[in-house]
Amino acid sequence: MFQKADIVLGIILLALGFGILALLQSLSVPGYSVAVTVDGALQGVYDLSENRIVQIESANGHNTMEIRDGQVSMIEADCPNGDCMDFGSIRQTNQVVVCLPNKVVLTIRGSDELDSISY
Amino acid sequence: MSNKIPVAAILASLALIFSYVEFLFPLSLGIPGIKPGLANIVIVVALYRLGARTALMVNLTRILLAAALFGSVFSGLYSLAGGLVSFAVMAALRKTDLFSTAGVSMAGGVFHNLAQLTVAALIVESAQILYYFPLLLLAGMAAGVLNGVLATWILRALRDVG
Repeated sequence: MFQKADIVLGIILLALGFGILALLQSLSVPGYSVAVTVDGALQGVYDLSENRIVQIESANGHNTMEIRDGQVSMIEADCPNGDCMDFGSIRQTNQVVVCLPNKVVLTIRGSDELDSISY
Repeated sequence: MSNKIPVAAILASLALIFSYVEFLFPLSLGIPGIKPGLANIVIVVALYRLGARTALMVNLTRILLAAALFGSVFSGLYSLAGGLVSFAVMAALRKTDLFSTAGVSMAGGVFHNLAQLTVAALIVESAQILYYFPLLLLAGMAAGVLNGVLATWILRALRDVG
């Protein structure tokens, strides 16, 4: 069923996928804060050391983010599929939570110094 | 030539049903936003049985009807970006005659996801979501191989029927 070209392409794609995954993971460090953007605009930056619940209002809807024990997760969203809640908890730089319908993106930031590297 | 039209219409309906089933029963395998994309089994079968031009019409019909019936402008946009880019890649790879059906479908799955991620990054205006690139690449690959193997079996069965 498979041909030689399939195998070559498959190996290249696997190497690319796992290679970038490993690279991102090796560059990732524990975060200090979480940045909330709606439609590309920064809405706020919240310290990870403080447990809190943040309501995120956007033109398209509403999301609720929770910071608990240094981890961030989306706990409520009014979008139809709720994909953003499936991202689980994030705490490392290079990790994101995305709500496409509401155009909400949560990203973890390191210290200021690390920020300029990872951007 | 003209007998392609009823077959194309049936395939478009079938692809639409697959899209609808996935809409009704979203299968999240721990990676948010991932779908097996079963409608692409039909698109691959159309590509090999009816040729690129007709298969493109089948694909466009499915995407537009799915967006109109149970999607939105945004879901239609994502679907169109993924559908067109993956289709272009599959039609080009098929022409080279180097790849099997499953290999063509594998490449289609990967490029489908990459196109959608690119559109998503533009829409939410965040380059950060490109961190998601490797996972989507691997997931697209797995879904593409699965759909490609199924399409190969179907094409074989169709050949036996004539």
